Amino acid sequence: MLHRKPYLARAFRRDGRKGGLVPTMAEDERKSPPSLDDLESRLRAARAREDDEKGTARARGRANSAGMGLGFRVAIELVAGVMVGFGIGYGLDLLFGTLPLLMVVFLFLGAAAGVLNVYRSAKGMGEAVGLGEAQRRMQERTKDGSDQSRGDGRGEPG
Amino acid sequence: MASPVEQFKIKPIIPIEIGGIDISFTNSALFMVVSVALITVFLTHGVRSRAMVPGRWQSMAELSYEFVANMIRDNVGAEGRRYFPFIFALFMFVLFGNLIGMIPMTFTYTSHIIVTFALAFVVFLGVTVIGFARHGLHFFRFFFPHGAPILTAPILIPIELISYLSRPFSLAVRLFANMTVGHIILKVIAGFVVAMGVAGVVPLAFLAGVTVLEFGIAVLQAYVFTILSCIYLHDAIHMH
Repeated sequence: MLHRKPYLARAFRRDGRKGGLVPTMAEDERKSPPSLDDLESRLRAARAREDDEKGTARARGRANSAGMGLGFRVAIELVAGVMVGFGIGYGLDLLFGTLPLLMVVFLFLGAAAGVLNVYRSAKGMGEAVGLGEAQRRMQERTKDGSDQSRGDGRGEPG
Repeated sequence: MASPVEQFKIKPIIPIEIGGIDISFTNSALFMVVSVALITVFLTHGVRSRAMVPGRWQSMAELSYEFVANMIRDNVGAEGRRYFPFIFALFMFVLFGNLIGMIPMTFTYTSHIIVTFALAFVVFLGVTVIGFARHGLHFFRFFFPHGAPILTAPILIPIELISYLSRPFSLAVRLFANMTVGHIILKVIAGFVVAMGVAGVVPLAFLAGVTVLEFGIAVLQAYVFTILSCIYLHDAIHMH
């Protein structure tokens, strides 16, 4: 989004009265507003041009931030499973008066659930927690939208 | 010097107490009201002109609308459309809470785990109710993977159950931890700037970088919170 500025500066001029951006055009063209298709094709061409220049760098930046997010997510997923397991076990123990027993059992089950969550979020199966898949879908969509192959970001280990 | 966690202190502005329960209007509540008011102004003022070629504000309002609409379409599918108002409200509330917190002297309500947990728990309850309403008792299949031998059920079902129950916790803790840690880091580094005198230029430069990073995290965490809600909704509607 941030990189669109040079394009805007070239093809739009500031309308002082309304504070918005209006397309610049020749004086005779101004009478009939340009068709949306025309505007659309110009936008697409400009985006493709700009992606050529900055696409690689941006894809790498996105892969980095996605990787950091995934790492933090994995850590929390792991802890949350153990905590919930502990909570359930402790609660059941208080209910039945078997204090250390169920707590220990559910602590292990919780750890297993945490590892399961981590496995799923890393694999991105779209089952319980599939952020990986969602990110892949979004990348595919942005790739289709700009009809420009930027596959280099996806191959890197996220 | 003030402690780095003092910024999270809840102060009552209008003390109210009903039946021994403290329901004061606090600084946290104040900034929730502020953010809801800002969201309302941002959206209604933004689309007021209804221009064919949108101006800046309309563009931003449309961008946020389309962002959430695309997210729901990609991750929930066509059936998710009716949940758009809730998901959009959730996204804007978390996003504005995170961003308002970046303004000095304000209060970040998303840095309190009870706030994020309440949001996450509403999502969790809603998703579970939708799942049972759509699939009835068949929704319990969710807790046993397809094709697993029936002998493994005594271990797998508790694990899947805990995995399912840990969702609101991981959802809440992720947002809360990100916001709290970010704000503490900012305060600690700012403390170094004052303490180091002239050499404080170095941490000041670092502080500028961290502030930019925090803005990124504020947006990213709102996005993550919303997209995970969408994925949970997808699971409840489609059962994998």
